Amino acid sequence: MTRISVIVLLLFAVVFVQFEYDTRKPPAGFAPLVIFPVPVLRSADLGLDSGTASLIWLNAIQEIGTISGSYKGLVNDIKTINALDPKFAYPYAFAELVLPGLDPAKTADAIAIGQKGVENTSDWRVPFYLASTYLIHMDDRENALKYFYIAGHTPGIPSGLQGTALNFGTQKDKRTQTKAIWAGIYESTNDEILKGQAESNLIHIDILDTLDRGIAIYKQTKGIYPKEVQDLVSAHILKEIPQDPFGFVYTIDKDGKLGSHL
Amino acid sequence: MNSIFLQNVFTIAKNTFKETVRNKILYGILAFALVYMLFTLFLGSISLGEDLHVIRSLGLAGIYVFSVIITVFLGSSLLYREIERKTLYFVLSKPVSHAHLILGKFFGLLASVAVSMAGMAVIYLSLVAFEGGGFDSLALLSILYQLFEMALLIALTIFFSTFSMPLISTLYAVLVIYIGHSLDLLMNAVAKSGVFVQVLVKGIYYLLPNLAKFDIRNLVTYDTHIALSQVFFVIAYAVVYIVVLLSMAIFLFEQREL
Repeated sequence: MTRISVIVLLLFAVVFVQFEYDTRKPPAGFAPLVIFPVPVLRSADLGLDSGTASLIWLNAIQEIGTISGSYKGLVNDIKTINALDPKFAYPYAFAELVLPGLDPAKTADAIAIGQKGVENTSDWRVPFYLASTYLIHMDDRENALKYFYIAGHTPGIPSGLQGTALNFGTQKDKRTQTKAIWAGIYESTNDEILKGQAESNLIHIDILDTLDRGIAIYKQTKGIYPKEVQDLVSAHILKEIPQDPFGFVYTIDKDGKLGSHL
Repeated sequence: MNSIFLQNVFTIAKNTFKETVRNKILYGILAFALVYMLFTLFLGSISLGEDLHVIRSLGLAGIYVFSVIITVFLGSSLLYREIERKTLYFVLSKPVSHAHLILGKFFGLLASVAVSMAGMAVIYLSLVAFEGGGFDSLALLSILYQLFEMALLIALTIFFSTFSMPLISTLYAVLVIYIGHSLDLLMNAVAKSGVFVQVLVKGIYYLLPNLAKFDIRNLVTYDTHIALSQVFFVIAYAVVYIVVLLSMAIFLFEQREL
């Protein structure tokens, strides 16, 4: 009995020491895993390339939001995954949309990863997201058209998105088209990061639409353009100034054209 | 091949099977494999919607790694234990030849490795079905390929254990497994080297067991079709290599002074 009591007491002591250790531990940053070059990994993983790629993928997605800086590690991880398991489609698609959002300087990397993905996989998301990146981050409608066409003809694309992809370039209003693309991404992904990005962009476009409509109503009722967004609230056209998810502050010029700055 | 030969091999195989499935190390490894397989469910859940891919790639990798561990650990001590316990003298005093013993040990261990792999395969298939991947029939082909690789490794460890201690046999086996999976890389690495190096590496490439051909896990993960002729040559390679290794093992075992 005494022996059992001592063991129980010692177990309590273990819990106590762990608790005290955790409360005193300084907040440490995420230490990214050292990823060896692909030939080294290939010769050491006993042919388990796909499994190794899955593990690096799990590591890569842990890095997002936990490291500050250039996201060099993330780009390297994704390139390693692509080399080890070229048919693993989602890392290509993920990199295309998420990298430019995290760091605009990584747009060229995202495009290069996406182009490789289109060559190696037959997943509709890869050309669709690549086209979206060309359109949203580079305003390159020619390449966007090319990859939307490929996505539209890739088996497995949901019918709603197939319409969006194949009709790209036929609508007058670019904002409607961009909104349809983000809505498609929002509905088709289970990825919380991508879903969050799509949701923010949809809210952003909705705010632009609301403000444009407000300016038009103001001009119709008062005969002049509002000087600032606050005027729309003062005129009871808007209840309040909408909160932009990216933190944009909106301005209105003398011709009633909506502008924004961070 | 007469009936006494088959009967002797079958009896030794049956006893080896019973002996290995009673081994506590085997259950330890299998328990760890079960925990690992269940853990892939968690890893899948944090993979941003790529659950099935992660479970399939890591699940098949797990079956392979745990099968290798079981094969090498049990295989390298199979003959040594008989010699150490002196049960070998008793067996060989009966009308049982060295060949009966080696073949019996081979088939007995192969049966227990196959049963262990079947258990892991059932867990894997259940997890894939649970995640909505349906019946992963291609994975069964991949596991069958792995079984042939394990058969080759069993023959290899038995061959090594005819002339070395268990620890040394284990080291040799692990070394050959690594080299066997890197032969294609080795060939590519010396593609621009001199003629002598190329001939030397080519010799190694053809003589050592080339294990990369047993790896179709990547193809299975993407439901890629596998040609029937390829299946035939992979099985033929394993069978021929196993016959060579077991013949050499029998020869060395006969020469050994017990």
